[in-house]
Amino acid sequence: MLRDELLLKYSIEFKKGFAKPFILFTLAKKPNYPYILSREINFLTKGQIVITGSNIYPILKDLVDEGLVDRKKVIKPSKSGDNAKKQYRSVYSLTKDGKDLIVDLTQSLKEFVDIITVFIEE
Amino acid sequence: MSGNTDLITLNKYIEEVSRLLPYSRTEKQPVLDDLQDDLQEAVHSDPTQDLYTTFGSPREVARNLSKSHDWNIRPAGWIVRTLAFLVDFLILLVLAFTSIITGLVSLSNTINFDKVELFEFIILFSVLGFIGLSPVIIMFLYFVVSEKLWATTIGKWVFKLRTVDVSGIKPTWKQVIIRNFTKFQGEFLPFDIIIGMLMEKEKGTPGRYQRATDILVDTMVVRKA
Repeated sequence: MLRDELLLKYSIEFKKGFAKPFILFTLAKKPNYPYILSREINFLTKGQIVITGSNIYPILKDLVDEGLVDRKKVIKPSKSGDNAKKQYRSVYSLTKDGKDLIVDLTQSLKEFVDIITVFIEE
Repeated sequence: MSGNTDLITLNKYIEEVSRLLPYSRTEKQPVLDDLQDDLQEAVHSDPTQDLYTTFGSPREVARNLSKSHDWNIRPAGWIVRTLAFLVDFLILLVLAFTSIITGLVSLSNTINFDKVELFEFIILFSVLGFIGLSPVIIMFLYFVVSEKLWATTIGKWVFKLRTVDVSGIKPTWKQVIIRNFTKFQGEFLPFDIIIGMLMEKEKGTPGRYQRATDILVDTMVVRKA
């Protein structure tokens, strides 16, 4: 295997583990919709973590099942006046457990990054 | 939406996703509405990218949607599947019988049996061959086509069963043809079940009740809870 291919393979492997934490960190800022969430993660990580399109749905489902994220239906702003039929949309937000986990996760990640920094610079 | 063409493309894309989800319109609608909102945002934020690039193929999207919602389904056990098969078998028996009778009646009207010539012999054997083959053709059309189009057969429908890809979406042609192969060759069906049970035990994924051909093509039969 070529060096570039190996680098890509290793990068994808280690970045995969960051998808869930980044979703949690992004949701900690404000509740959000799936596509906007994936776009923000892409933007905030400067394209390093890319969760394409619908791939975010099963990850969000896992987080909901783990009790870290809540899915709620909110009324969509109506474009055609008050008499129009109400339409709903799913929005995701952190639960209390999710917020608590963020605190521990932040600490854990900081320690991990410190170790990696020392390891690389040695 | 950046133009009328985009709206048409978007609706076609959503309809394609919807076709792959083997659930009622009422069950699918809230999920598809959310998808539509996300797709509209994707089109708005970058009109230069098409939906296939930003979201993947409709099959990928359907697979992800299927995995990310509770559809109240669970793997169907062997007993209920056997009952469904018996219903299907009875239907097929009636269809095959009707087909054979119709074939024989039309044959007797076509050929004068008192004075059969070579040309008529050829017709006779062709028709007899077709009659012999027709139960297999009917079986093929019945199981393969109905499972591909509706993810169910009449027998399965009676017991609220669906044949699905393991991700929960409708199966492909390849999947339904391979998983139904042992129904054409009925003598292999018991082995298909027994090997499936053993393979499932070996893999350590009990509870899916897959035949060997199901495991081979990643399909399973589910039941509405």
